[in-house]
Amino acid sequence: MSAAPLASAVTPLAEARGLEVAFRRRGSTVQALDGVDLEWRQNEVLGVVGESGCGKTTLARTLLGLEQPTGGELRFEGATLDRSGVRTLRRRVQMVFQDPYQSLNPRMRVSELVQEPLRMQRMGRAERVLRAATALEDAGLGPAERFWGRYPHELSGGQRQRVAIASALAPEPAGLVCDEPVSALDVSVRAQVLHLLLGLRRTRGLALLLITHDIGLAWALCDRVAVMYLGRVIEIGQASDVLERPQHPYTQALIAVAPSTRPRAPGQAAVLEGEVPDASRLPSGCRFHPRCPRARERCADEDVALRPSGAAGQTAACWYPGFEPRSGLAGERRPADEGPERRRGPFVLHAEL
Amino acid sequence: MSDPVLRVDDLHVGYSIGGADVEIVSGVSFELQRGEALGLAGESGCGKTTTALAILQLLDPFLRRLSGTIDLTTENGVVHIHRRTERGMRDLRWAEISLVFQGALNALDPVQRISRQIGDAIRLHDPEADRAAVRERVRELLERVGISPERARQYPHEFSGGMRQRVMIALALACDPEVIIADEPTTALDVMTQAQVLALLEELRRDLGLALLLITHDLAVIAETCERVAVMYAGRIVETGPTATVFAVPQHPYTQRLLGAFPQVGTERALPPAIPGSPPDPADPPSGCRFHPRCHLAREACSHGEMALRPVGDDHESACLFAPLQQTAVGGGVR
Repeated sequence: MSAAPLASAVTPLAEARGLEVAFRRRGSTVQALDGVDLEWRQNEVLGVVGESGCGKTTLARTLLGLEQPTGGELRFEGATLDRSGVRTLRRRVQMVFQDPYQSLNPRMRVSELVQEPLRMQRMGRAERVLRAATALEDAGLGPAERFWGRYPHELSGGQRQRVAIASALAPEPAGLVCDEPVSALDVSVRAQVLHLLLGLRRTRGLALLLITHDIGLAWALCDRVAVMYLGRVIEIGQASDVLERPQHPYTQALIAVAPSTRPRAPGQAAVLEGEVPDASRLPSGCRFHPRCPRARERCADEDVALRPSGAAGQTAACWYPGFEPRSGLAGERRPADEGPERRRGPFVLHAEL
Repeated sequence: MSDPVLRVDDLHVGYSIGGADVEIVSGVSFELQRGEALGLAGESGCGKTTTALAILQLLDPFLRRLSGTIDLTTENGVVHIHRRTERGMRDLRWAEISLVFQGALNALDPVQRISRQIGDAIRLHDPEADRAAVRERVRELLERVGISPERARQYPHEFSGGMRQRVMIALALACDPEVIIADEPTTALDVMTQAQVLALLEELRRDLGLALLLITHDLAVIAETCERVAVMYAGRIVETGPTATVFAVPQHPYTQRLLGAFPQVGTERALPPAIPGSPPDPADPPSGCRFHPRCHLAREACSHGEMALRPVGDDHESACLFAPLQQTAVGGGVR
């Protein structure tokens, strides 16, 4: 994990301060992002993890200039975003979607798919072809002529994702946002695509933003990891710190429930009860307090921002942060008469899970 | 101790095209013991779902069982599923073997209350049941899977993904089956919800003595739920044994690399070594060991003959010529 300490000295690729994005839905407002603080540094692999509905994808779309912030600040390469800034942003940051079966237009040939973003920039044909061919070869689809005239249906899943990566590379971005880039791929093909992404980071100096629900993937791939809950980053730091010694109780729960192929001692898995509250009706105080085993009075009354906790550079939005070994996480067994239907309960231990 | 409730022997499933047979499942054998959880692992297209659908005789119309036997032990003795007609199968489905699908939203009828859907399943196998009895049974089932019985009159869309999967499980339990086949039961769910649903399946299996055949590509899910695992590749089982043993000392290079594809917090922070290429086309499977074109250990001998499962340890079998293998190749990735 070489690049991170150096990278912090230069201007971050993107920087969010109190970033808000709200959607109106049938009269009520859904605060999809509600004060996100985040720094995406040059050449770093930043992981964003969390349950669905936590705002991971909205954050990605905002970083791509696809959503308009309704509050807070988003700086890109040091500059606040205005109208022309969004244009630059859209060229400098590209996206790789989850499912290459859906993200590629089935009627376009590989050559057209990879040239499409360049066409949008009104680039001349000669340069376009050259750039597209280079991008294809960088994405591991070389020689480019072999794939040039093919349609997506003639390619395997892994090859399709490589085409998607090539078209993201063609505009020569500084950052690549990858939304679950391998979860739709065959298990045996996953590692190939991951190797490719890390290789590109090295050869092209790319920064990667990896959105994933897979904690193991974040562990293996990321320099830093941000954990999101209900529209906010609730913990961030070096991947090894955040995932091995998490300070926020939610991060601990998230890691504890991630299925593991390694045997674990009985009683190590704690299941967090209930579901993420509706983003249109946020809890008071710390938004995690209704599901939190550490919650005290203060947590229900006072909201809490990211504060230094744990290792250097590690911050957590918790009044009572600290790492507790997994076995100490669950306080009680589930009483027999209370089903999981009971919302917002405490942590509950399933000893034999 | 051997008390198989389900026994599959040399099952071949496929379709015919231009006089030739294309096999999706190509000689699969396994036993599911009473009360046991067996994981059937493998990536998409390896034939794991086809195996499950063949057991239930719910194969797509273009697919058929080419050969092999499927025996189910019921209270009334052994039933040869492979000889059953569609009519005969109807008595077995739900009553003896139930299926839990991946997408519960698609499996439930969106315009029927869940009480009605579960009630229909009960009445189908017990037409005499009176209304009060059915209502009582629905309540009981919902409570069993952790849904408040007050929600019985709601529609599927009023439930979250995890709750719908619970409804699906209640439906599967409606007629007291011996065996539940769960095909990627948690794949569409969030981690937290996934953990809740897996805990429920585990609890039911223990309390009701169900046998569970869990089909998934996610080895971690199998590690959390199943005592035994069978790993499939290109229509065949390449390794089988107790989950803890197979995951600790995998004896097939495919299993080794597959395990590497699920990095774990706390292990060495490295990307797993990639498996080159992609799974073979069922119409043109490689000769010999079907994994040999992608295998880092492959030698000349791997491309000839039939690779049968051989014992490599206690209840542990591998189809690799070179088993037992050295256990160095699992980690050792690059970053």
